[in-house]
Amino acid sequence: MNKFEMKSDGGNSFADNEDSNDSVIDLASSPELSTQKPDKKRKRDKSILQSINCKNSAKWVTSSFGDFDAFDCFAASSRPAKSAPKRANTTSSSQSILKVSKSATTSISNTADQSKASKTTPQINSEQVSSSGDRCWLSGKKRPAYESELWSDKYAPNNQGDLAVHKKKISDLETWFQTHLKAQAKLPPILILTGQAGTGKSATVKVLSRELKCDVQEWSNPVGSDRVWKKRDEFSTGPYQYDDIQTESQLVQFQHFLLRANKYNKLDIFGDGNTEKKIILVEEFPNVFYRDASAFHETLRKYAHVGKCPLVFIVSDSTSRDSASCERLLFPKTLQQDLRIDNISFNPIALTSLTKVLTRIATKEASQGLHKFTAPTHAILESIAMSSAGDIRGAINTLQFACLRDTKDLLPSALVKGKQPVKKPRGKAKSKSSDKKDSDLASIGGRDTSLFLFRALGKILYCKRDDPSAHPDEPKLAVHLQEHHRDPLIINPEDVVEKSHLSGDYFSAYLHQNYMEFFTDLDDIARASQYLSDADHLTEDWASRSVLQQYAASVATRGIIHANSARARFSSAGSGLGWKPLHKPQWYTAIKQARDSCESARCLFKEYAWTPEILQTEILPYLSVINTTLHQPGQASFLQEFCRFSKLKIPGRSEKLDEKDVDTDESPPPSQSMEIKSVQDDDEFVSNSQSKVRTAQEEEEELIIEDFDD
Amino acid sequence: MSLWVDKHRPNSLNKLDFHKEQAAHLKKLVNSGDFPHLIVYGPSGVGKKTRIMCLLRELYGSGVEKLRIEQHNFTTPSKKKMDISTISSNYHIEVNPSDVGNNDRVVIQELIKTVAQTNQLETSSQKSFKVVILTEVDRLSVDAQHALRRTMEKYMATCRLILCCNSTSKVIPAIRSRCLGVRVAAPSIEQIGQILQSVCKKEGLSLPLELATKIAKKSNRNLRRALLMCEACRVQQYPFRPDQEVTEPDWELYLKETANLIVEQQSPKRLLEVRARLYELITHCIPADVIMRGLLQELVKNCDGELKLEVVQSAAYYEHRLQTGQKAIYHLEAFVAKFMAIYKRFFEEGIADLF
Repeated sequence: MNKFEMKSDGGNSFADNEDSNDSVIDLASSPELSTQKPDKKRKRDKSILQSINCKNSAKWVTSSFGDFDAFDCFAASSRPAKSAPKRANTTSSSQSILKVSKSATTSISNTADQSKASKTTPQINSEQVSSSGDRCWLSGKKRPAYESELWSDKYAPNNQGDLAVHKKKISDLETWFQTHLKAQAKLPPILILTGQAGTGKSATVKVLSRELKCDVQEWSNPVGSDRVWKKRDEFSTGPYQYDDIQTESQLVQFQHFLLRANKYNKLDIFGDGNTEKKIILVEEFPNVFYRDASAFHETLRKYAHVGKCPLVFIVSDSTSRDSASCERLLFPKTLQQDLRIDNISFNPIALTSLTKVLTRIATKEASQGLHKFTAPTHAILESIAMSSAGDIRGAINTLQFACLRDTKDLLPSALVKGKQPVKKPRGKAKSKSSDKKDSDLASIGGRDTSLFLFRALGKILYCKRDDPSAHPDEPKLAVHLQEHHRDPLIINPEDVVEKSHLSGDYFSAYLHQNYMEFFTDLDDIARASQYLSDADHLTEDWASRSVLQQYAASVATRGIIHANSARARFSSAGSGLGWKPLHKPQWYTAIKQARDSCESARCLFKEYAWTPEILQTEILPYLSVINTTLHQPGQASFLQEFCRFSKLKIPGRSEKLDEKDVDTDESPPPSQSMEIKSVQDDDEFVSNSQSKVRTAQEEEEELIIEDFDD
Repeated sequence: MSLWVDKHRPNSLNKLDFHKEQAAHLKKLVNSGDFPHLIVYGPSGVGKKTRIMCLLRELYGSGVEKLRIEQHNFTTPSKKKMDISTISSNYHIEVNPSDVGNNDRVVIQELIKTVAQTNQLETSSQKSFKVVILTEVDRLSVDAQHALRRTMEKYMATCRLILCCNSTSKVIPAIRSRCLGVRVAAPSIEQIGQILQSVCKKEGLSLPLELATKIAKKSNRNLRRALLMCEACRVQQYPFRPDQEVTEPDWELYLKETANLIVEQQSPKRLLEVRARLYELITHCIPADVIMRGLLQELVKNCDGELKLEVVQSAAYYEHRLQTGQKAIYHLEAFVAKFMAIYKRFFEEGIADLF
């Protein structure tokens, strides 16, 4: 909003000075564009302007926006000119919509009538859904089929048979729906669907809900392109009413949505039969929840009291930081237990079914599509399917993109290597060649594959090796070095580290926590731990740390792999080691705990005025033995805690690492939290303590130094 | 009731119990009314700070004993806020700059500058300088030490520095050469025994000589520890018995148990147990180098002559890395693994030799 205000201030000058626009264009787009397009655009802008102007008395404001629009359009200069009229339409239509919603919102704010609000807000929402609906390829909304339509939208599944998802998952979900749509449990049924992006989570929900004849009420965040338009138009009629629109925070809107969607059915506008059954679907979460998950938890618990109809959350998991924390943050285990939340996780789509879908689409497109092309060969389809890593949406989009060009271009690179894996038996050969193909197909939209930490660690620790006979040209070691001979590795450790999206430092911490259980020989362990120590030694200097971290990770991973002499041979791979649980590194929690208690020791026992090391190793242990009168209650309990050593044989192992857990390498900012803590402790100390130095303490002043130039 | 360590601390140079000759020297030093920067070093628990406080008392009179704890706030150039607590009287200020970790340079510069820039009003009745005591100087970063060097020269007129550390090996030569070094050696076992007995007498207790010697031996010639142990014995049992058990800190017992576990069996599983115990020690704020030293001392006891060399060598190797590295556990564990490997190999060879 600030932005707009700013623009409106400078609006006059902006409107007068049209040349400045052109110069911007020259910079932003190709010369051809800058000569031809501006004319068109300006015409269009004028039409927009006219449509707006008729409602406006304050011309200067709109003209500034007109320019602003033009600027916008030029920035996205590749947009086809076709969309221009459409855009003009949306302007006017959104204006009319805006009017409705504006009047609605004002009526809400005036009367504060809940029932009215319940009717208006869903309308707004549903409208937004339709506008942002093309986001997901399964939304049943049909657009006129011109060529720019995404095939992933066009060929969205209509029935269970179309779905590429594994049959068992579908039936799981179906039974869940069936049981929970009928039965009335005490708690409202809540389900979380997890899985990578493009594994058909939403598609399955939509298809099933259609087949079971129930309504889906979907939440979508109340921010969208429409909203932007509204803002502008709203602003042009006067800045003050604008504020009325978003008087409710997203949080409140979300809560209202949940409660209303639960209570009231969709309006039966289109006469498609009002079904009794419905489910509420939440696929995106209001952003505020990522910052403050407790608000979300509260909302859910509230819903658990009043709600009746099934609530489905779709959480795409990935290795990126935000969405990874999503599931853990929004649905912690305790909440899942309390509210009896079910969890169905979708696996990446299997290669065969993915290929089947692709073949179906390709043949259909080739026969009836507007764009003529020969159906791509099976090998190409297969390699596309493989490179998409189980993301069906991505695969279809890739196919479409690939078919825009002549697919024959793809043949030489994809076919030669693409045929191999099909012929070969399943197993290690496959994974290896698929790795190769990842890089081949990057040219036609293959994805960056990433590994979950769990798998990345597994790859290093299990260190599968290849058959040496497959590598006849491998250099041989001299006889006296024979003990260091290892069969060639299947994986490339550096790749694995890179794909795990962790810093080398953090990755080796994970390795350190887990490597020992994969070793049987003590000498090997000694060697492996030596390598880990080397890795840490490499990164000791903070100035070069960021560079050396990669090398350190390389030393750690390769060191651990090499040191494990029991797994040096191809034949030894896969034998002897069962599945082993992996753990999270204890180091970070240990060091944090140490720092915290060190800090609180310093604050609590300040009157003893010893240096930390002496305090912790000498004074405190004896203080707990000697019955001195302690001055604060905090001291006694801290001492007890501090001097108690766990007598368990293996004191608490660290948290287990889940298959899909993702970690970020941000160690919590210790200094800041500590500072706050210590300040609080100080306050306590000042108020409670009656130490011997207390007498002088009344005159205590804080010494704040403001400048420090030498 | 405060600890005996605090209660019976001598407060004048005359009352010091050992190194009386050095005390006399110090007395002579300050009698002239001025003294150079000092660096007082020596092992832990030998009364370095006691000696410093005695010196200050000699210089300023009993006013230095009126202590107060202050909080100082600093802002680093990167706008990070830190606070550090100092102990000060009207005449001196004591600070442990290593409390703030990497930002110790800022503390040194700022603090000394504030102290040094305030001139005494009445130079006739008061000394013209204040004293800044810096403890744990050997833990200062190199940056901070260089900052210190400069500050030392600059504010010589209004302030004197007394540096206090365990060893001068980590203090840069530039600082060492600017200070008068005062080495305080550890008291002998007999001296500690005598001190313990005199302290007990002041407390109205009688301490048998055997027990006093036993405590003194257990304390590793660390007087502070000896006094704490003695007080712990008093709590445990009074009247004292000569054969009384001397309490050791929990963490030391724990560390010894850990060392025994290592010697007892060498296997990956055992190593995993040891690792858990190491973590336990670390969480209890026991510094990693102390753990390393304690482990080595215990482990070496179980080693044969020729093995000792190898074990100590690898300990030195990993201890060095531990000092520079980030993750102490890697190095501790590497040492334990190495020891296990060496020890196991030695035993297997020994058994093979038998047959």
